[in-house]
Amino acid sequence: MNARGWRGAAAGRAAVLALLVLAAGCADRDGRDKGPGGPPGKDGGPRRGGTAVVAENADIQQPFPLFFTGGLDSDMIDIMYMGLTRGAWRDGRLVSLLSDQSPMAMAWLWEYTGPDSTSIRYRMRSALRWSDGQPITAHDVVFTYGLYADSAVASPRQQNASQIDSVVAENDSTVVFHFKRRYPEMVFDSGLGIIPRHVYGDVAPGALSTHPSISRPQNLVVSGSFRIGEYQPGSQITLVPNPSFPVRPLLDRIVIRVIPEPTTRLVELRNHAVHWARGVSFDQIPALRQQIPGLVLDNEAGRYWEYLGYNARRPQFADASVRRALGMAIDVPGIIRQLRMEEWTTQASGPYPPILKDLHDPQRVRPLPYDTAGARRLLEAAGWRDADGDGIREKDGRPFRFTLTTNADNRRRMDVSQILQRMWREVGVDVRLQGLELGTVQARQFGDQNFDVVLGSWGVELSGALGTLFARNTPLNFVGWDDAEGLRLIAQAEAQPTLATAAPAWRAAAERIVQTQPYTWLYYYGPVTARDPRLRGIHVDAYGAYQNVWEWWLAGGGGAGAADDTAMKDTGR
Amino acid sequence: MVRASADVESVPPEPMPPAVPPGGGAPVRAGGAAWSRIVALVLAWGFLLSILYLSLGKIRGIPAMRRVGVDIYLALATLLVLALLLARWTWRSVSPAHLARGRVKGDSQWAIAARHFKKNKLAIAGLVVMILLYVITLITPLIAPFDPAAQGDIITSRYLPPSLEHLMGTDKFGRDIFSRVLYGARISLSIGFVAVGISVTLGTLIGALAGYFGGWVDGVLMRFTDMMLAFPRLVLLIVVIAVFENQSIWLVVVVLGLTGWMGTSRIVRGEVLSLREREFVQAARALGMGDWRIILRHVIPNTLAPVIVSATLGIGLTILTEASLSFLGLGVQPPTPSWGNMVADGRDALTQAWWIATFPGLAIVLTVVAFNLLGDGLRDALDPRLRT
Amino acid sequence: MIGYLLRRLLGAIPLLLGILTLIFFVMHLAPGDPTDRIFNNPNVSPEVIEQMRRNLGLDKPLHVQYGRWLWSFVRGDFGYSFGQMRPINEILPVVLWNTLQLTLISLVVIFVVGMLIGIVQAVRQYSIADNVLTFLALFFYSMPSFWFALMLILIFSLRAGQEGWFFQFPASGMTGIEYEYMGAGGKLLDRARHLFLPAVALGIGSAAGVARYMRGAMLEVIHQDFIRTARAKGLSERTVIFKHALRNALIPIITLLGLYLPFLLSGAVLVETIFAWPGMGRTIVEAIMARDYPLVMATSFVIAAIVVLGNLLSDVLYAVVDPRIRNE
Repeated sequence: MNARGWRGAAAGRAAVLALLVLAAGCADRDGRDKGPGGPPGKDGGPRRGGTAVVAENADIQQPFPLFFTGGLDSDMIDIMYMGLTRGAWRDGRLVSLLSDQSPMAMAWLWEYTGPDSTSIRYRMRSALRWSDGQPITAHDVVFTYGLYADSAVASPRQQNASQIDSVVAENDSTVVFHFKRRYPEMVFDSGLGIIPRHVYGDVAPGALSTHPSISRPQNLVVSGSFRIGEYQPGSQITLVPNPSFPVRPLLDRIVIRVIPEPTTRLVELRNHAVHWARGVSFDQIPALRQQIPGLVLDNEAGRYWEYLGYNARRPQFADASVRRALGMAIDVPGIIRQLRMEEWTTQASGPYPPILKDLHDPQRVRPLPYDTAGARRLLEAAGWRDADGDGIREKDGRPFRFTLTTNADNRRRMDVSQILQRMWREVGVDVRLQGLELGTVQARQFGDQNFDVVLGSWGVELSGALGTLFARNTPLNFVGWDDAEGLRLIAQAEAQPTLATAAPAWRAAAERIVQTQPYTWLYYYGPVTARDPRLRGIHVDAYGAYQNVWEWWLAGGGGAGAADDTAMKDTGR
Repeated sequence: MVRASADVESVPPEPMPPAVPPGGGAPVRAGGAAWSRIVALVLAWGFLLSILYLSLGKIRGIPAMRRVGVDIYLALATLLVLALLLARWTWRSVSPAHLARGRVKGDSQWAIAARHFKKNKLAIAGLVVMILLYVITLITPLIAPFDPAAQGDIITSRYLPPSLEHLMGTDKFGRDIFSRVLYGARISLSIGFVAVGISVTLGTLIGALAGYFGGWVDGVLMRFTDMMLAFPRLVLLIVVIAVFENQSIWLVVVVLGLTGWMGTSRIVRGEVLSLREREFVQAARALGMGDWRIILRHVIPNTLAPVIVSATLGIGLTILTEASLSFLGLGVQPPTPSWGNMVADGRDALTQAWWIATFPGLAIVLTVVAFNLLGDGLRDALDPRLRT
Repeated sequence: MIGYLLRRLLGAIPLLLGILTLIFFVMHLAPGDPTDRIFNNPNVSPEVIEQMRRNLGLDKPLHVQYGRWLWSFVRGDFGYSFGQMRPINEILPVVLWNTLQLTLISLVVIFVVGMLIGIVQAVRQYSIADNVLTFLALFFYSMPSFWFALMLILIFSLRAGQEGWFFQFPASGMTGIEYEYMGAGGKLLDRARHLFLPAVALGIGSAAGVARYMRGAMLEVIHQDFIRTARAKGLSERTVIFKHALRNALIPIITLLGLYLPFLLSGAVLVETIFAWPGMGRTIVEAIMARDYPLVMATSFVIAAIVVLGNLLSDVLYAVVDPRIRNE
């Protein structure tokens, strides 16, 4: 749904609302627990009031722009903090929205300045306020970017600020970013979340991560549409509207409940105790659809690719043709069918999923064919032959035997690795499965690089940059990829001034990377969320699931737990 | 003497703790009857087999399931031996000599216990189930209809409900649950057997040393026992398994064994404390026997009754604990089937394919119930105070 | 008595210190550390991670880290949780209280249910009821606890809701989302409803254990002379059982109170995960998985302390109810 789309409709309804508020005012206040107090929208359109309940699988850790590292934290940043511009996903491209397109953007205009366009000037909306009533000014931006760049703060986003030479506030509502060079992601890097200077101005940079407002996030002073009203660690996060936000959210509350066990999450959805269950595993979906007619499934598009990462430092995997052979022995469409993921995944060919319209290139980058005969030929050519007839290939007397590592808490990966074991076995390769917990997998993968093959996934950068995964000798290049031609192409892309001009170079780099097969790309996927049809107005895409919470609304009955609602009948099957 | 009484009476943190009081029964002479040698032999044999199954489970990640030639011969041999034993037993029990002989033998502690045990129908049922389970693990390759690792055709054979072809249905890989339950019995029972073997040996040794030597040895060992007891076993298991990276079934087995000995050691210590002062130990000491010899030949054999009870109960508990670990993804790793990881794997599908988790779950229940009935029966039979 | 208590408490100190030291070193030998989760994000440079490790004190040698931990621990400061990014002194009381609610309620469930069953069994020894109850108790005890918990959810939450049974229990959480708008009675009811399933899931196995103890204790008492005397006096069977026999049979049962605590805390690990109960068990497992050393140490300490106190409590209770021991 386009942000502009319903805003027009909302304006048309404002008059009706004003009339009814008088009458509904009292009931609204003391009758909150009875459900929504607001009037129903015309023609089933958006209506005010109600509590939406979301089930998440893990708690927040540091919902703070400087420190969040992923998971629910990044969603909370999307809800609670404005940036100069707002990132969004439009027609297969990452774009930056200004305040006329998104109320979450602080700036209404940006322009390149300077002789070679290495600076950007932002003009900010006036009358923006923090949730405590203080005005939001250009000085907050300058202050925040000072912290992003400060190595004592140790922000995970320090990298984004590394190309910024200086940030200058020309007046309270104008701020200029001076960059060290021109590069494609300049606008995105200057659109990070901004924190209030009047709260954190006196805090020593090293002490920021332990600031009390982060450990008690109900004290966070925010700029976004909701703030944390109440926080019960490990259990429940209650979001309430931020009174200073330019748009008044439709919902009274959003309650995020932490339910780690997937079975319990789905039971609560079927019990109508939650409206939105996140992290639904793909092979549960067919049954879930039968059990809950009318269920809506929101797909965060195919932003992720599941990979097999080979440790190229080990002699077995040093040869690209061996890696290619292992990939060709895998029937990816078969895996997708077997785990019932047809609807949610597509076979992957390289580092760019189809959602990246400008970068995905189905002509030049194709998935490996499923060709066991070809795989056998390649293995024979590389010297792996089954001389002793035990079904396992050997080379120089050593059998082709290795360990496939993945994180045990991910059921899908455990399932996939069991199928892989069988498929590789058919071409004479013997695999031992090793399910570890995520921390250990990552320590082996990125730390001491003590692994053979890892089954994992990457979320692609929406801007398309590959430099983080494919650079010489960085921890994230855990596969040990080192290809002069590929590195040259990446460097070439990174030197381009805009995303549009960088795209051809990125495509060439991706093609080169796929030729060298450091990974076997299995499939593209995105997390799926199961939704009660009464919760509406949600916009989910590759950018995220919580990007427009102020537009969410509840149709029909009251809050969660309204089991009498007949809109969704559970057949119990 | 509050302290000592608390020590002896207090129970291991298991919910079904054995409460055999110290000093039950008459001293056992070293060596003992011929049948005790047979029991020792059977135990050793069972231990070896368990280790074999667990290793087979590990080899190349293909679990104890490839139809190895040896395995089938073993199964056939087992069947043959069983048939012979059965025939011989039937023959002898109807022979006139046997019928005429009646009961004339002298009553050892064990003979009395056996008589009491036979009266307890539930316990006999437990014993029968247990023997059946172990026999099944031996002849599994003969009765399992499918290869438990063989993944069926993707579309046509996954999530099949129970039918004549697949007695317990199939799972998401199209594997036959019945065959997996059978092969899982090998793994689960072997884990129970070996882990309890470790913990009982360790517990007996520590308890005997503490009780026999007393003084600072007792102090140190019992404080250590207290320390291990002062921490929930599951948490301890999670720490160790998470830390040492669950790579093999052996880690699970050994850690289960190393965290389960505290109850046994307390019971044994209590027994030994009273045995130490008994005449036959004093006599052995007067004869100049070494401490170790006395412990191994005179003290430990006399503590066996409660140890057997706690071992029997322990096997059931170990199987349950492995299931709990599997729930957290720290138990036996797939594709090796253990009952625990089968239940844990099937829990997602409880509402759409109930059979995946239910049958291995019932197998666990059956086994644990059997072991508990047996353990309770043994306790009643071996403890003179509980005999009625 | 007070001297004895003091001695026991002092004796517990090296015990706790021992187990904490053990866990400290086992944890730190583990591969991986708290900064690992940051690797998930491609934007983090190695320098930032180094800086972070420095901020967290993870770059120091192990014995220094141990010394620093011990020193702050002695001062009552458990440090800072890397995983939750909050001072542990703020985390602990909350999760401890949540878990205590659950364990104490389930302790009550265990003892009430267990004792009732045990009494029935003892009074009707060898009857069908006795055998059926024995078997049922054993059956529930023998189920893998997480499987049992999921069954409870599927039946008493999902099924009950679908079929419109007159009772339905929530499957997760401690309170409903409308909790803060409820009156006092509603709040209590809401909490009770949320407590019910986890408490049953946690307690049922142990209840079986209590039942068998109760049965044994009752049988022993019932066969004693004073009971025969009471019956001979013409007292009603009810008076004999509940007044005379029960009081004496309670002595061994009371000592069990403290001893079930470690078992319950173990069970809480799974039950809390399944029922989304924000307690100690879940906290410690998540902390172990995240390599959140300080939090693991702090929760371990609390758990061990509870267990030690439980043991002490059962000894004291034993002395209180049994005059023979008090006089020694």
